[in-house]
Amino acid sequence: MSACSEIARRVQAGEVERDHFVRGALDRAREADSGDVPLHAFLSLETEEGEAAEGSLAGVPVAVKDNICTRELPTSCGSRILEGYVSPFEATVVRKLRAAGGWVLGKTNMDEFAMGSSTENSGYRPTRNPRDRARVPGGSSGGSAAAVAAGIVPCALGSDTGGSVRQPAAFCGVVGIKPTYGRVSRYGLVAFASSLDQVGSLGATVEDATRLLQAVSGHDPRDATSADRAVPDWAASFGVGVDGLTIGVPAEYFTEELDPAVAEVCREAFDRLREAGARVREVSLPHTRYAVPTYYILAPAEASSNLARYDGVRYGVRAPGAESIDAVYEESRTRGFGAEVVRRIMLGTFALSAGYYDAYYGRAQRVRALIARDFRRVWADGVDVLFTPTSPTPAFRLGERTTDPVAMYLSDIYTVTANLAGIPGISIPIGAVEGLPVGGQFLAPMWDEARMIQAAHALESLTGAVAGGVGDARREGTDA
Amino acid sequence: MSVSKDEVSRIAELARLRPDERAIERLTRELNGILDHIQVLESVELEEIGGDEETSAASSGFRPREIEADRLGDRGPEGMAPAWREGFFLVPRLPALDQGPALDQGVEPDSGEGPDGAER
Repeated sequence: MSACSEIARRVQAGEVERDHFVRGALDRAREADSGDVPLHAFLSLETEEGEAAEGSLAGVPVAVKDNICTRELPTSCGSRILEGYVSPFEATVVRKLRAAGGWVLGKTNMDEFAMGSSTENSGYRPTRNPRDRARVPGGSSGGSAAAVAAGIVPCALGSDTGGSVRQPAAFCGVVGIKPTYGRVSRYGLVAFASSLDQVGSLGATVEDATRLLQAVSGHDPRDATSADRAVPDWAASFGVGVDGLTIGVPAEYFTEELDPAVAEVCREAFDRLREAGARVREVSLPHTRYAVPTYYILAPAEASSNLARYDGVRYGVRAPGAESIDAVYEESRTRGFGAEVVRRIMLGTFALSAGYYDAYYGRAQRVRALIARDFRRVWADGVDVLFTPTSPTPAFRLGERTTDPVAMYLSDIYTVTANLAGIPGISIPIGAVEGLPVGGQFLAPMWDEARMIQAAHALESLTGAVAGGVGDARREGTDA
Repeated sequence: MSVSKDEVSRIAELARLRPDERAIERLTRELNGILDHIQVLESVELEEIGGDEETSAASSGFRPREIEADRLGDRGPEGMAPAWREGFFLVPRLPALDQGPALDQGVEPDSGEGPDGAER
């Protein structure tokens, strides 16, 4: 039984107080930040109570990424420009998780405005990887992944614009799901790149991550991009196996960028899937090599527009002593934004500027259509799900890539395609290289999370690579 | 394609940013590195795209055009800002306008009588 299910069962059966496991989680979060090398998974550590005493998440502590609005805890997006900002409204996903009995346990650290792959771009402090504290937890949802991997919480919410749930899940050895674009409401998710952003879930196991995703999915009239379609019961995908499933392996994901040791772990996973009855065959997604360049035009372009609202007047940082309204805007933004955010705003502004729009933004939109078409052709050819590595390497060391933006961007090489095509993806631990977790990714057609969860659940059982946590989220409160 | 320092300064102006000279030099170098990486898109054959494929793979729905009740709920706008008067948010006054008191210099936001000269 997953940690979420067990906690909810015990709380609803009245075996323990409603906040029993929440208190335990608070203790563990504080413990993780003590010592010589603190974890720093959280930016704020308070609780917001579950609304319901019963539900699929009754009494479950859930960590929430700091770009998802909560009404009591601050929402800074890991940025100095929003330091101390408390939203007047609550994100739909937070309302839903509390309606299912879940408790918010603090807000987790992240790369500023979700721009980054290591959580080193946080405006406050970096988070460390619980598996090896000299290494990054991935990003941008690095705090959420670290909180799960350290066994502080059984599940957490993140957001995934180019791999920001799946890549940190892979680095920390936990499960991360990015659902289909439109499956989960973005109301109350602070916008980075609106055509790519999705709220996703992280969990110690496929079941934990799925149960959280199930609780927060569904149509929301407050988000025009939220789809009005029924959400299947994904628990029905557990234990089904992969017998008869056709699993495609895209050749373009196994190129020279991929660490040979990671490739080997992936090959072992194919063998297990084959032995369990899956048909595994090579397929081609010919435009894959254009995905990162396409992403790094479209996402910054959208970000430059979305982040125009941070002007020193309405939120957060305001430059003191600025003499004119232009000076307020420019000095507040220059002072409040970190280096990566400035870089992306500049890149996006350039891509949208007169004379360059067609050559960059317009062209990238058309290449995006080709990337999405590649996937549609593979599904039409009888492939049920695709299996790929999640990231080309295991977790790298803090500081290793901070001076080379392009090297950092290439961490997302296998994850950005799902965001560009709008399809769902899940990363699960499939093994290790020199003690560091390796993630494998299943991708599925739009709205077919069920098939992807089915395959991931089966592979999780086959590899036995359920990382669980460094701690155990089921451990109880010290004062319980 | 590459950008010059002057172009980077112009982009910063459009983006409402004010990087100093050193930052402009660094940004010029970094943006050119990224543009080099992006250049590969020029080699993509773009024929045969059109119609629905031209747009994002994800489709957005349209909701009925209905006017909904104010969603600000129990707090109302006055509960969401440091200062509010007669239907307006009060923000700090710019020193350039005059030497009047700025809102963050001791004016009571909810005194009923607005700060003299407070910008609305």
